[in-house]
Amino acid sequence: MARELEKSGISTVCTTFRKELIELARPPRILSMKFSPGKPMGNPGDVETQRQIIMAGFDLLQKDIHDMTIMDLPFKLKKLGLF
Amino acid sequence: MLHSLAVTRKLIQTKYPSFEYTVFNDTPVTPLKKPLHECKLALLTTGGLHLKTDPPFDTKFLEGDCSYRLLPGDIRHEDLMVTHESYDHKFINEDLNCVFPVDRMREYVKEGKIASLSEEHYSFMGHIFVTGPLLENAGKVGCRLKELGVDIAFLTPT
Repeated sequence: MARELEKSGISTVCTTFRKELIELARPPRILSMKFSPGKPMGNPGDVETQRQIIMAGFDLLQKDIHDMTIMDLPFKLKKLGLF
Repeated sequence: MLHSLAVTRKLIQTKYPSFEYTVFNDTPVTPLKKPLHECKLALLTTGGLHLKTDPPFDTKFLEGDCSYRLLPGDIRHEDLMVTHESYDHKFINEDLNCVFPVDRMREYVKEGKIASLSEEHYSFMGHIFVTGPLLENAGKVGCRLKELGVDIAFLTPT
């Protein structure tokens, strides 16, 4: 999906908890985190983590990239169902 | 736990035998053309979100529902519902921003980090096994967002 948006002239940044899967699609800017399905921005109410993820995305958007670029973020949820 | 790609492929193929991953070898890149604080941002999710007044996504269509739903810029949590069977909704039910961080983005507009949010955000389904129509619809959304003057799309797959 990000690929088509980029072709339309829009800069994209994607979050993912499945880096090996999104690498197949090769979007340009990826924020990779070890989160569970259903909460790509972290736990409910964790405003600080949500803001840090977005800021990481803004940083990545301002980098001069020419190919798929993955930023591994250190966030890892504690056991909450799946993890 | 999450399965490896090979195991995931086998699991999907039990439901949809001809499934294979869509693989690309290149990366289209649109550089940011203006300072971040002058940019307009839209949110896109594959979380199956839609207005309660809109038709739900079709979760029974084996190939996957490639349609999309418009989410207005002034959307409120209580206006939304989720039609997506592949993730636990308890997180988004508690906090919309777990999947669709619109409140955080509104904060960044107020703080002047970005200029504005789009009048339109978009939602798709995940678990799509035949991706051609999805790419076509993503292109349509991209053109629409470009018409609206959007510079950045922030994507949150679920």
